[in-house]
Amino acid sequence: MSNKNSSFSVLLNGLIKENPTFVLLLGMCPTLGTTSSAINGLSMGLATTFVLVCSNAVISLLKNIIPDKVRIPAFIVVIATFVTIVEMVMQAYVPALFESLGLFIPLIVVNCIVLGRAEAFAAKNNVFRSLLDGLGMGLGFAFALALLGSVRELLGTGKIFDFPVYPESYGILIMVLAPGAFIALGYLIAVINKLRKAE
Amino acid sequence: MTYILILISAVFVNNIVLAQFLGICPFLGVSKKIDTALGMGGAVAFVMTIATIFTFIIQKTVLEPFQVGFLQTIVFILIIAALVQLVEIILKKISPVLYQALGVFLPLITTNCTILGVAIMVIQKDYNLLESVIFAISSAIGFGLALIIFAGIREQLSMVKLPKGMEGTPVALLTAGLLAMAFMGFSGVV
Amino acid sequence: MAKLQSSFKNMLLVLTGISLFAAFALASVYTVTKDPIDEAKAAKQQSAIEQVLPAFNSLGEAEIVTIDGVEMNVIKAFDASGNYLGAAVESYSNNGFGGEVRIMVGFDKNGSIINYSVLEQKETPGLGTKMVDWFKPQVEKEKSLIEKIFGFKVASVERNSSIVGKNPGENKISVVQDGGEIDAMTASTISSRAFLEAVQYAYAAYINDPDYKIDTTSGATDSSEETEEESPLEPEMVESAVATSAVATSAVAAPQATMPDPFVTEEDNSNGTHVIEDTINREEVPSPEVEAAVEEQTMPQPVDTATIPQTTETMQDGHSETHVME
Repeated sequence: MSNKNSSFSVLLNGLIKENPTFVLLLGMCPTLGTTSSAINGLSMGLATTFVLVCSNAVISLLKNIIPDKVRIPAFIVVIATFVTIVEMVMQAYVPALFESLGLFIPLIVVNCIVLGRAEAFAAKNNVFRSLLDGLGMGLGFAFALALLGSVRELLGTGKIFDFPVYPESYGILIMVLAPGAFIALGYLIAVINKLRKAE
Repeated sequence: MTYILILISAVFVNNIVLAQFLGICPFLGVSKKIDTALGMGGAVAFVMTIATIFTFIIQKTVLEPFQVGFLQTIVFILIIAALVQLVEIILKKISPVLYQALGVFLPLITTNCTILGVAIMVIQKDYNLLESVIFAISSAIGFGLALIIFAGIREQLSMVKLPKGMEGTPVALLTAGLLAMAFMGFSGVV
Repeated sequence: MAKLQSSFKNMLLVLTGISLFAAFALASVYTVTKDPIDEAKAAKQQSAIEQVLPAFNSLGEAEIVTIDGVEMNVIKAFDASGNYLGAAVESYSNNGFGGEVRIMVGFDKNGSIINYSVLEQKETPGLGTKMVDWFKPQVEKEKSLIEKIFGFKVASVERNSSIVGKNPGENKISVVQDGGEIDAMTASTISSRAFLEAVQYAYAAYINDPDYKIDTTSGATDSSEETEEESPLEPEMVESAVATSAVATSAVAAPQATMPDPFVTEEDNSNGTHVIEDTINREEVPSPEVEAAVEEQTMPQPVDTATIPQTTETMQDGHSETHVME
């Protein structure tokens, strides 16, 4: 079950074909809430990737001993454990980032992507494939968030990853505020839809 | 009066969906018709209030005295998940009518950022129990309000011809963006 | 892929097992990260202080000073020989557009502002949030990529908005619209007022003088309330407080010819309510106290550095903490 083709395609699946943000439209809350700058979006994506990989791996390891009726609470406990670990590590070593991501770090535990992949994939596949799936989905999510964050930051403040591209006074401030999140994501998905239909 | 301020702030100024980005998944998924929007809003209000009370009590009586604040995420989400199950069972027994109306939304609510988000927020804001309850109810009202307005607009949108790429989620997001802009006008009221 | 049966015993066992393991894992990570987290919090406070004070060798204990119900922390700084350098005051105002504005202001030993740092604010992004830099001296911004490629520079507007180097005892630290010297932020007068109000409270805490009155566009300052609270506690402190208040009021009285004196009109509001007035058009009647003080001292003197470290008053628990010089 782990020939090279199959494993690689599992990884690629999460990145492109079933990108959780642009295709599956899951995990919208952090997508909109943490992308006011590229670095915030990327960090959120990477934190979620960590949780995804770990929880997928552990759940896949335990899938045979978790009785069916309690699988959701069991999954939640596992996921919440890793989320709390991420929370504590971030608070200790990157406190500024921890503060700017704020409420959305503990909210990783209710991110539909994490529970969804646990249920749909990790509960039915071996550890290695589950790990790859978590990695692929997580990186796809991180890429989407970084992209959205870059677009908003560039249009809103003239910077990308804090590098000034054009003078800030010409930026469209609303792009880094709440409405801008909706609008930027809407257009981004529309563009990607168009590209996908054109294939 | 602080309570009125909390109400206005949570419903308009810091609307939980349009300003704080919590509850987007149901916001986009359940808001195609006004009836479903109402149902979802009601279910969220119900669960949110009860969940906030429980999580608040557990935080103050267990987590803080024993200094295990880092278990907050796990404990809260377990309480919420258990609560939703419980509510579903009780609702089925007590009021089949209400269950018919709200029941289908309840499983969706467990993994809804709104409930966990509000539960964590009242702890961060250091509210007392009454203020927390009012905040929870107000947030739910704000959620319902945004949902209903959005559903109304989407019902209209569904009758219009749109460019292919924009159909569905993109135009919904753009509409939400305009709605968020409108709600931005409330800032400074409180 | 046979799963365990969903019997009650199995469910309970598995859930308990997973929960126990989770609790263990979390407790381990918690013990590892607890110290770094505490260090990070302390470092944040420390770096805020370092930003607003010149190079110092040691810091005093944080003293809590409450003025008009605004509780502030005053942290004094000393150099290697124990000379008093100045103090950082953590102050706030609740009158920001979006709520609380919390700042740290550094004063040198004369009471002039060295620098400030905004700790928390919820102002409108792009407008009120500019307070982070607006009230500091203007700096040339780094050229952006487009500016470098096409070789031009977007001109920035000259403004008189810096509070750095100004002494709230001598200069009127409020927006021009309120008769002060500071240019408010564009389209953010409320945020500007809140910020400067916090600065004024910080200064009041810094000099810790019961007779010093703060001029704000909202909030009440009633000197009679303050002296009542302070005199039963610290009789010996009142003397030095009077000395400093004489200095402060004389420092203010000196420029009376050019600026309306804001510190005396509160005498009228004995019930503590504040009347919001247009400071520019006010008719000033110096109270007898101020006139007497002006006659006593003809020259503003720098605040006596020897007394400041020892005169500490706190409103907490009815006792004072005397700071010990290191």
